[in-house]
Amino acid sequence: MFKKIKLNLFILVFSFILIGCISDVDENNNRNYDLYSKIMCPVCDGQTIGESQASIANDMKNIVDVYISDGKTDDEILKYFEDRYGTEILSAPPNSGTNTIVWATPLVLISLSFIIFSVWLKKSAKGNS
Amino acid sequence: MSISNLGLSLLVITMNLCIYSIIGSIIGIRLGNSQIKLSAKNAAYCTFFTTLISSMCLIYAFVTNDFSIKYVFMHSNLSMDPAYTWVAMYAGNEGSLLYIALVISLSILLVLLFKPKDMYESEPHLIAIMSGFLLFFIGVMVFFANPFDTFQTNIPSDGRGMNPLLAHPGMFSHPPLLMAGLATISIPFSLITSMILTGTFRNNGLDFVRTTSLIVWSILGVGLLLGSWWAYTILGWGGYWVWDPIENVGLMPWLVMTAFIHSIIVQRRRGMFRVWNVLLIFLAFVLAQFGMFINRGGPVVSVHSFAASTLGYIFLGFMVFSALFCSLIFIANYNKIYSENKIESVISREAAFLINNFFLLAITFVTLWGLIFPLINEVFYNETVTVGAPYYNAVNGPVILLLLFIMGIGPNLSWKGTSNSNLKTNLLYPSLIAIITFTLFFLSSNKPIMSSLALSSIALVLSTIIFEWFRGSRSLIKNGTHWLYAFFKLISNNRKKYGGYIVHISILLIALGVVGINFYQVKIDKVVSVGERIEIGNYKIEIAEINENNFNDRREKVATFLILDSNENIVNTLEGNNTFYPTFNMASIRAGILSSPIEDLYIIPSDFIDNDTMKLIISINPLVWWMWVGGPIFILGTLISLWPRNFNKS
Repeated sequence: MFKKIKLNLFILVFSFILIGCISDVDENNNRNYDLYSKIMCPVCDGQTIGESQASIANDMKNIVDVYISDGKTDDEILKYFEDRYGTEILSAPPNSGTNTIVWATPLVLISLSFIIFSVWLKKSAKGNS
Repeated sequence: MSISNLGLSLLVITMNLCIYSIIGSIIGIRLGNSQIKLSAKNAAYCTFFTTLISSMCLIYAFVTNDFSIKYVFMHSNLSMDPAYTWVAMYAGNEGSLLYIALVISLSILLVLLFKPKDMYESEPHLIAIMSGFLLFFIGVMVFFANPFDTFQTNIPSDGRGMNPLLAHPGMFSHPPLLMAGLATISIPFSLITSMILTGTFRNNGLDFVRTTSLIVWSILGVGLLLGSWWAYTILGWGGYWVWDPIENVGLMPWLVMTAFIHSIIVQRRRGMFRVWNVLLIFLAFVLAQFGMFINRGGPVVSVHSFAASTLGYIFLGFMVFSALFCSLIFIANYNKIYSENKIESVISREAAFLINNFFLLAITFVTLWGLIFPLINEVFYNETVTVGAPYYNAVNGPVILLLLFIMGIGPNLSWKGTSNSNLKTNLLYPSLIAIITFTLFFLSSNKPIMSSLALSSIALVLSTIIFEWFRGSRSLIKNGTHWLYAFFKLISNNRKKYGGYIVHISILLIALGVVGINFYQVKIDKVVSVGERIEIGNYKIEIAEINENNFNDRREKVATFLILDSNENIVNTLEGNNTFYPTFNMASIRAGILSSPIEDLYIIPSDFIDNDTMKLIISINPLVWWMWVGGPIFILGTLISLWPRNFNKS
């Protein structure tokens, strides 16, 4: 029975690969909105320029649009704003300098505690059986 | 006597009632005198009625536009929609404190009325703790944030008005539910603390704790979801959830409570995890106080700071006090809480609950860390940073995905350990379906792998539940029962379990909406004039008209859109509006939404350029409809889970 299922599965996966190859991959038209959500509005409380209707936010959105049509990369555009307004203009800190801490801490703590947790779980289970 | 004097006097009386009931309970416990205990209990009952009348005074002042009261002046005016005057009471710091006090006093009343008779030993402790909690809020109002403060001279003829962002139908449901949910975490907290103190933390008490926790947890959950819906209809709040600090402080206690209501099942069934459960409810309580501090103390920048005040230190102090109180109770009574039982197998229901707890706490930790990191960074490195949505999506996203995955595996495991063959039969078809879903979406779209993984996890959980249902009802059907009857019979035979599954389904629906809007949204913006047509997806949109309405406190511009089908017939009309409030120099921009189970057409007039030209943001948001449908199903599942077992027999 398992062999049959495996064969069916193989056929299914294969046909999906075919479908995947045939169906065209559409362009991501949301790139400017992605960038809007990564830049904070400098005069608002906790809003990105995408959410804000302040005139400076609208100006900044225009700059983003112009730079995208100029062919600049996301990093270049974000760097432009960071240089002018400081790191706090970015809606998430870059993974560099002291800001590495904000990214690394959850990763290190969660994986470390998961290891301790699973060792404890196994030990606890063994000690009982 | 003026209404403001009456309101304040009642608060002072409530304060004295609280003090009386605390001292009375303590003396009653010391002397073992049941008469004093009873008297303290009666005082605790009374707090509800005094707080209720005091709240009614404030509402009355709002409804009758009594601008001699400063708080009414600040949060109401004559041009406001009269419906909002009934709820403007909780639009700011002082009044929302009064609302919270009302909720706490009501919960004291209800807990004392409905708690099991055999929990009498811990009752005085319970009364002392809950009255103490109420006393804090009443005390803050009496001494620092009096909602009934009046103008002595120059009584204004009109008010400043409610914060424009609050003038939304969501105002009637989201704030009261969210605040009630956060405040009533004190119920399970006080119950457990009082049982620990009296050494009566047993199963009958535990059932009551479970009931109250589920109610509190569902109120908070529905409050959060309604907040999401509110944010969705408004421009500027990040679609539906933006990981704003004020949103996060509401989410964290809910996550911890979610962990709690799961692990408490293990304590009920196996007598395990007692220490863990106590820690969880303490954590949830302290996090709720932390939320109070963040919300009212204003140390962080937020789009939702409606209750900001200068009382930060008081709320910070109370949070620290709560944390110390919890630690003290925990350390002093550790021996009473400790339970001996250990996990038998890693592949068991108990272990799955623990892993679920682990991931829920991991999400809580990431959320807390992202919230406090800017404060830490500023103090130690003198650099200001923003930790916003992209951070949480990147870090919490994968953890949430793992949690979804566990939701699919966990219910297949049995208590004490599962045999391999059992696991195989239970998981074979669901995992096949999950793999197929993944392959299908991974190969057919250019979306990030996260979206395919999320959809396949949703498929895994859903098919697990459906197969479980199928297996459960099969034996009933074999005996000749109609399948539909068997289905309901199965649910009613094990309400806790299947109620839980229904809640799981509602979470899946919410997840479906999240995946839809995050990965499959199509968005354009365009400057358009009246009469113009736009095509997006399968929709033809015609800009019909722009109307302007002027009020004393606001200028409202309403844009009407016609949605046409391929034969140029009008199938729907949508309205988006942009209301500007000069007093606040603030605009509230609301979307026109055409919702369907497949996708939402979402049109928002972000900016009016002149009389017939405006800037539109138009998006197609797939599957968001399911997110809101998740709400009622969530409530239904909780209710089924809560329904008493032998309701008809007893």
